[in-house]
Parts: sequence; structure tokens; C-alpha cells
Amino acid sequence: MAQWLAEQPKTIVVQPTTLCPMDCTYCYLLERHLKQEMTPLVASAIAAGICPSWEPVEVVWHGGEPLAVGLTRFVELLQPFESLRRAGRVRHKVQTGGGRPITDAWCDVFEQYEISVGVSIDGSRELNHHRVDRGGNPMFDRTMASIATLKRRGLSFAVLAVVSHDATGQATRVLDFMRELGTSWVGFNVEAKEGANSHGQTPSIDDARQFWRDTFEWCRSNNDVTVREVANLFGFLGLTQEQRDADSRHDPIPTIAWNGDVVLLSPELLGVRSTTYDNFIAGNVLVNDLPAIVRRADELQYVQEFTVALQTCKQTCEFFSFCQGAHAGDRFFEHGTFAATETDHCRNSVQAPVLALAELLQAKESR
Amino acid sequence: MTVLEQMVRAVSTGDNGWAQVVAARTTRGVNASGVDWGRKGGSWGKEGEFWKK
Repeated sequence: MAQWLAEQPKTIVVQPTTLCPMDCTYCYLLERHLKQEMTPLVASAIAAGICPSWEPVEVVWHGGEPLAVGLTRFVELLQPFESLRRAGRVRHKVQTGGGRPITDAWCDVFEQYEISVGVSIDGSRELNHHRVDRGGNPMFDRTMASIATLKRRGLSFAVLAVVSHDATGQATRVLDFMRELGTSWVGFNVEAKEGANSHGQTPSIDDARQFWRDTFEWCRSNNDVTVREVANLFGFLGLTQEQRDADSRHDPIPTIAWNGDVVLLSPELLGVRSTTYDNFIAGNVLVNDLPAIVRRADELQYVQEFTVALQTCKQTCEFFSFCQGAHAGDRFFEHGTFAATETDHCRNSVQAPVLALAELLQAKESR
Repeated sequence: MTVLEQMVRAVSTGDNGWAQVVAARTTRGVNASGVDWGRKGGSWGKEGEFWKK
């Protein structure tokens, strides 16, 4: 196993269906219009591959829109994991974009199987305009209805929000909205060119820096919402020198398609075609043992390139100790190779928040 | 000195109100749940980072 990769995953991403009823303008999923659904046989193979020697893993039901597989099939897919979940070796999470309504029946499943829920919404109606259905109609009211159901049932939820170019000046509005929404945790994904979103308009680092500066200012006077990027940076600054200087080992993050195919390092690589990298397929759980797929990761060309590039990141980037290297998928989608180093995500989601907070820390006067 | 090193120094010396805010929250965070430094950084391995769009 390459020195930069962990020997076991802590996160396994599972795609129960490629289908998403939504058609968000920045979506990276190439096959979201196709209805290809995972069978219980594939789910059984995944569960059987969770090695007894592994520490507990998070199984993240991702998409497409994971709820689009339907309640009955979703529950069928959960069954092979039940003994693992009851033993505390598996913890389920689901990320929904609101493409299918969260009903009381879904809430029953979330409760019964102790599934943590994440909802994707970018802000108020005006700021959520990139999230539309296949007819181009806004998803806002439908997503809000799902959130209302979660709240009525007393189920907590995390939020993921995409920060597009037109939202970089709206951090305060977005965060006020999130607080009113009732979530206690928000992660911001600054829009990047990935997969199908190869022509998106990526914010500039200056715009991103303004967004993060406003976010830090908001967080200073609001403790009730944790912002992932703020918490990450504060956490880093609280480490000892030894801890800050230590290199992380990257989670291989096996991402498993509806048909059992496995890609590593970045879930965004699933479904992407590349003759150079054999479509990034590391194996298939129906014919290969999942731990063996992970163990053989460093035989893959793209993993080899990625790990070499991590060393380059370390040698050339002053932000490395915090960042630990650009995401694999971002390198490929922006540069066509994993050997590249700096990406838009580096600039907008690592460098920009660091520089924004540095500016605040260096100010002569504080508020 | 890198910008990160400058920030660490500013927080440790409590140069301004912001440094005090960061120091207080950092301390609270470490004490509350422990920072899993082996998974630090902006990569997908971090708690919550798997949630993309």
C-alpha cells in the first residue's frame, strides 16, 4: 500500500441508483438521467467485504439521488448490513438533494436503521436557483417540504451547500438562512469544474476569500451552526506542532456503483470514462473481494500518479500541512492528470479561507 | 514563515480579538471531541467531507 494511503477505508460510498430527478446546473454526474439500480446481491457483496479487522466504517448512500431507488428497494439494500450495524461496525449516512420527498415512511427508516441525514440546499429561494428538476422548475419548495418533515419528526440533519459565483457575496444571507432552517452543521462546496460540470463558472479566489471572510465574521457572533471549513481550520490551529507537521494517510474511499464497480479516491470519478485510466475501475465487488481491491490500490495508474503528486504538493505548497493535498478528482477534471497539483478547490476552499482568517488575525483592531 | 505559521503564532499570542476567539474555540473543540489529526485537512477523509453535492 502506498505510504500516502490508509490501509482501510473509513468511508464507503454506495450508489444505489444512478438516477436523479433533478438537473442542477452544476451537477458533475454524467449518468444522472439513467435509471440503473443496485440489487441486493451487490449490497450483500459490499457488506461481505467489510473486513472484520477494519475499524467501524461509514456507509454513505449517495447518488444520483439515493432516495430515487424507492423505499422498498432501499430497505432491501440495507438488510445485508444489519448484523454489522447492530455490532457497531457500520454507520449509515444518506445525502439527499430533495429529488424525492422525505415522507414519514422514510423517516421511519432513518430512525430504525439509525441513518444520519444530509440535505443539499444552497440557501433561500433566490440563492437555490441552480437546483432545478428536469423541467427546469425550482426544487426549493420541495426540498423545504422534506426538511419540514424531518423537523416535525425531530430528526436532525446536516446541510451541504454549493457556493456558486453569484453567491460569494451572500455568505451572511446564506448562513442566516441555515440557522433559520434549523441545521447545526453546514459544509460549503465552492463550485468547481467536475465531471459533467466541465463548463461551470468557478468563483475567483478573491471572491471566495470575501465569502470566507464574511463566514468567519458570521461565525464569530453565531455559535449555533458549525461550518465545516471554519471548524477544520480552527481545529488545525489547535494542534501541536508535531501534529500539524505530520502527514495524513488518505482514505481510499471505495465508491461502489449500482453494478458493483469500484473506484477509489474520489466518488466523482464514478461513471467517468477514460481510456488512459481504464475508467478508474479498481474492481467489482461481485467478482473481487473488497479488501483485496483496496490492498491493490497502488497498482492503479491513477492512484500511483496521485500519491506521487501528493509528495509534490508537500514539497511545493505552503498550505500543505493544513490541506494534505488536492483532491484526486479535482486534479483530473481540471488538468486531465492526477500528477497536477493546485486546483480551484485548493484556491477557493483551502487557500481562500486560510488567507481570510489570516487577514482577520493580523488586523490591528478587532471588532 | 508561512501564512499558517503566522496564524499559529497570532493565535498563541492573542494579538487581537480574533486571535482570542480562535484560541477559545480551538481549545473548546479539542477538549470537547478531540481533533482527529490523522484525518486533518480538506480531503474526503474528514468527517462530513464525503457530502459533496
